[in-house]
Amino acid sequence: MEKVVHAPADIQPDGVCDGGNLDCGSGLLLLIRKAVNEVPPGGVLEIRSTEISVREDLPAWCRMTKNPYLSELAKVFGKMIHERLINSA
Amino acid sequence: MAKLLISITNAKNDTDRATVGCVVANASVASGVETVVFLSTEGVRLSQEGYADDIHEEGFAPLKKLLTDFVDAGGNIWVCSPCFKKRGLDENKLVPGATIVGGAKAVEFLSTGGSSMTY
Repeated sequence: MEKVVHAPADIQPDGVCDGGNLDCGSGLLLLIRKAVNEVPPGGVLEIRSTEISVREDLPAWCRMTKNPYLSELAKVFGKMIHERLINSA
Repeated sequence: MAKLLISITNAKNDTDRATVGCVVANASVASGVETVVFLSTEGVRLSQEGYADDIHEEGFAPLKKLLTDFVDAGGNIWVCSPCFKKRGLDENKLVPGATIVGGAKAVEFLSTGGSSMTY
């Protein structure tokens, strides 16, 4: 299981991607790829999702694509999970 | 360290395949190989507490014992999220060691040196 990491809460994202309930194989990764390309290099993208598998898949995708996974935010709004990664491009 | 992903795509529809997949997974983890059982399509039913209690193929250990031994030995169970949701299963009834994942985890495992077998 992926370790839960928390970044400082005051980090401001440069972009937000709302993945809804999509899992990674059902279109979420394509949405994230598009969104991360619109964030400046070194910028922070926030991913919002209600899909439980994103907790495992997003860190894995980040390792594969060399976009550092920053954190799972401590804030959870309802079932919406907010996660952040850095665009390394 | 070698890595092996055992993909199990059957449950009570084919208890023979489901059981043999677990047997191979046990052999793998006992050999010091980083081992993942990936449950997909019908195989996701094996992730539910109680479901496998009555699966006992002749000549093999009961499936529940095989999976429990596998996890106790350090093996991981990954459960395909869309397959799980399609069948309306309960994420609060996962067996110990099981984690719901999507495709990216399997892709990363296999693309970084993992091999796979499918049952």
